Amino acid sequence: MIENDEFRELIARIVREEIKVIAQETNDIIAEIVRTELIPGLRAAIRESIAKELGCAVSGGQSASEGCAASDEHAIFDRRSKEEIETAVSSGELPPQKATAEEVEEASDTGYDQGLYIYGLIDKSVSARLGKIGIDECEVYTIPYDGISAIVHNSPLEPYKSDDNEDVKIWVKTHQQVLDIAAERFGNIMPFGFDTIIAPKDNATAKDALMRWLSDEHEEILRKMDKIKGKKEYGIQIFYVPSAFGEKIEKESDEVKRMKEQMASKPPGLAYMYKQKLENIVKGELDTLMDAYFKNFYEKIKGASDEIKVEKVKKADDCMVMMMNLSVLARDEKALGSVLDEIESEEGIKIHFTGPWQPYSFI
Amino acid sequence: MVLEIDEDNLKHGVLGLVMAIVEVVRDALQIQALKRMESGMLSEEEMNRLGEALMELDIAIEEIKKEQGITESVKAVRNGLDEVVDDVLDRMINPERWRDEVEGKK
Repeated sequence: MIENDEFRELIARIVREEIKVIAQETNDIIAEIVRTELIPGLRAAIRESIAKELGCAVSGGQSASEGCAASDEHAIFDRRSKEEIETAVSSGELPPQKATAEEVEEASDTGYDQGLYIYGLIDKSVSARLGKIGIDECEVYTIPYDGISAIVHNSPLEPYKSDDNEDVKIWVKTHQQVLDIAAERFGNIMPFGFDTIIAPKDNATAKDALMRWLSDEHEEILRKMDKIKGKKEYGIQIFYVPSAFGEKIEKESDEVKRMKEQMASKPPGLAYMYKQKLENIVKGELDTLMDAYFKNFYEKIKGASDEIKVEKVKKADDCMVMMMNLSVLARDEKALGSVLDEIESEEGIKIHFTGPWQPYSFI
Repeated sequence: MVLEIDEDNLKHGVLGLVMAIVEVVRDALQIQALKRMESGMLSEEEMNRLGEALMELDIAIEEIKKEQGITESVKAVRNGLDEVVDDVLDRMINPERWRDEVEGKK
């Protein structure tokens, strides 16, 4: 009876925990309703009041700021950006839109309550406007500093966050697109990960903080940019089908053959034990075989690329196992492709290949 | 707030968890049994009995899973456990991941 009580208590505890989990789940739903229903309204209201405040500050403060150090830079930016608008419109690859001078001013001005969302760096000094191609259709432009320029848009200080995966997917995709457009236009590019935002710091605006960082890291940035020049990142995931190799091992291994013969004449209990043992042996041999494959493939891929990063393997579909997950930095896509073709011609091996990407993993 | 507990959901959760644990125990037993067998300490008769017991356990587990329709939820729990173990091992073998993690949090 004591056992019975213990069981009851155990089950009661599990049920209690389960209920707790369910309660937590509904909690999320409530939180989400609050988020989706109330926050957009709130955000709009806050934005509106900020815009109002900024409007006052700009009209009142413009003449006052004329004498400060930033104004020189400002003037240069203004002049250049006007040229850039012309080229942007005529180049045709960007959504045609004529920006007025005031808009340019606004785009280049980051106050203390605004951050800079940074897409990446390029290895030349340009100040250009890329149009409203950014996340949430923000105006994307470049901030030059001594041979480097940052590709940015003016953003709120909070990172982009959403519980809706679709939103995030769209943002990340946009981030990628901006980098692709910039790469096409400016060449070598050092990509930043999604959601990198520079905030105003120690009495400096986000723009000044960015400049300071660019100046501090100047050498390092140029060194890294040089490393990735002309190269792209590729994702390579190699899978194997265990059943295909298992059969092969069973056929080829003498030990397995011997065990199978032994099994046939044994009573069921013993046969079961032998079967387990057999499975273990096959698994062990499979592991050794895959180790050898791994080394072989790695060497081959290494020969066709500049740098390799070994990432964590993930769980694959039921009938396949991921044996390697690589990020590869390579200059010659064709050479890499032919090596991969060679690897995939191996029986029971499948490759998942993605790219070219901007070299996120190598900066 | 009224909590609505879906009986089916509860079954999948709790029973799936229990069966997953039973399976893990079964696996451990199997490993131990094989070790004893290889050590040569067991007679043929003992090995047979051990094998039969394990086989019956296997059959019972499969039957319960099928009867209750929890094969998938058991698999999900075990996959989850595998991932946790993978994670821990990966971190132990590759200390550079610690750095990545710390840097990622900055």
